Amino acid sequence: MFVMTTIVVTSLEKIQTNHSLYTTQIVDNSTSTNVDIAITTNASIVAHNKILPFNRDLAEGQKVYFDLAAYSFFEHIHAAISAQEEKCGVLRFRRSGEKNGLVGDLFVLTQLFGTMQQVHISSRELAEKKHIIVLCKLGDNVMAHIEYTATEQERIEFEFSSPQHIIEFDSAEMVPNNPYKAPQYNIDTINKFAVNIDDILLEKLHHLEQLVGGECV
Amino acid sequence: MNIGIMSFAHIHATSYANAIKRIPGVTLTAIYDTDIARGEAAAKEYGVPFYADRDAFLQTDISAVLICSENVLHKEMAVAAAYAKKHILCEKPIATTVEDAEEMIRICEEQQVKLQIAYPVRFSEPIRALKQAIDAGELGEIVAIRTTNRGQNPGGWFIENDLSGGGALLDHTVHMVDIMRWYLQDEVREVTAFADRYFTDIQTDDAGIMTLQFNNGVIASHDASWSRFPQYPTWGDVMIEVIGTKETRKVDVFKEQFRLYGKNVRSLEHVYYGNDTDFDLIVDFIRCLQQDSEPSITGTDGLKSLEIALAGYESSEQKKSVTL
Repeated sequence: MFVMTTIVVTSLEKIQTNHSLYTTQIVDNSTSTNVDIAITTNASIVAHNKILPFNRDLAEGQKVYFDLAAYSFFEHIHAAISAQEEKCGVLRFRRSGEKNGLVGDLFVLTQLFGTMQQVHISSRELAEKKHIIVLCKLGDNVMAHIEYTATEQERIEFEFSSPQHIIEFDSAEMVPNNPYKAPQYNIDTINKFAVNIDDILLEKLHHLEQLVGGECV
Repeated sequence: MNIGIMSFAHIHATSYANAIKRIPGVTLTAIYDTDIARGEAAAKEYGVPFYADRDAFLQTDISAVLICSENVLHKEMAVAAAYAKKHILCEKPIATTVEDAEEMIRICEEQQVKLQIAYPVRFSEPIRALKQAIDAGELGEIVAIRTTNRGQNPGGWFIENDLSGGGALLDHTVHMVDIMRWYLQDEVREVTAFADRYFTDIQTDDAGIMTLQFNNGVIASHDASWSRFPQYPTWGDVMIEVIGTKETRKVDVFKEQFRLYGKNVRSLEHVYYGNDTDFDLIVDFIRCLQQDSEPSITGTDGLKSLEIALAGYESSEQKKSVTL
């Protein structure tokens, strides 16, 4: 049985046109930007930055999606890394853009690799140029640099070196005619990785927010 | 000018010897090695006498020595060469302890011989072009730097701590810390690092990353891991990205390449065609001797980058940042 799913996300311009046949997007002209709520057959899905700081009224009975886990490339990277018997290696993740999204990125990466440990954060801002470096362990056998650079152009770089594989992804290399075009959401990926909003999730996000200084959503 | 090479333990000894052959007026005239078979093989290849006796080697008519031994032997070879009044180009890292490095620098100063450290990355054309752009103010004020020096596990004595003094974190941190210091003309204030063994079953560390903070506030991330396996299209990378208030620029020493596909174990190979940094390093050292000028990369440069790598190990072991 096919389930028709309808989703509205915060950045409508990011939605891919080649989404599943069984997914329909609603574009309301009056709310075509900054749409908060997603409507599905089972539950609503909201962007993670809409529940930070905590908004229990909005959160009740809904799901949350995270920017990083809304892209097709991440779904495939997730599958490749999850297929490995042991998650072991060096992760270098870097997001560039106007919004740093560190809390959401850290949540997604911890879901994939394991709990953050031994966290060290450096940050510097000069003339509106900002860079943040998060150094941490993820799980028992992954060491990571997770970085954010404030830029006008949105870009995600993902490198994971393990004994079995080396994964290299740079969103700027994916669209040759326009390297600065932002990567696009995939509705099916959003559905797949959307997480139920409950106290445990909110506690994790709150912890991550505190960890990165409460400045990164 | 006659040059001698002390040990062919490091692979760069071969490229340095080949470089000497290309420079008019400069001749490789003697080879010394603690490994007699290795030294004799090199002597035979380059058609020069081999000396198993270090003192006899140093008594020959050579103006300078290139030290390419196992890391732990750098100090004793450099000290002996300095007392014999030979100028020195020493492979990196300068030594395996701060105390040894300081002693090398002090004795070379006392004996009035030049001590240069072999950091060939300084002679990469893209690296030098970025240095010029920074100095010209094209990037504005530097906010942060991102670097990687990832490569294959070199094996051999590199993975024996007793001979190398450390693994990937030592081997692949010193190059990029030297470049960052050169770009910024500033010193590191704080080091936070992890070192571990992920990629191969060896004695020493093969994975290492660190965050640095310089005195002027610049922050930097660095990956020094031996994370590239033989099937990877190239040996590794030497990448630096400088994030400035006006502009951000990124270069990789090995980016001047073309892609070669074949039906081999390594189906894709990145073939490097950039400048020969080892040759340019030797030319620079010879010029320094001929012009009696200060080495472009001093013993102190070697000491400072060594300090950062060793602080990285300390940070990893103690699970806290190390202030220098």
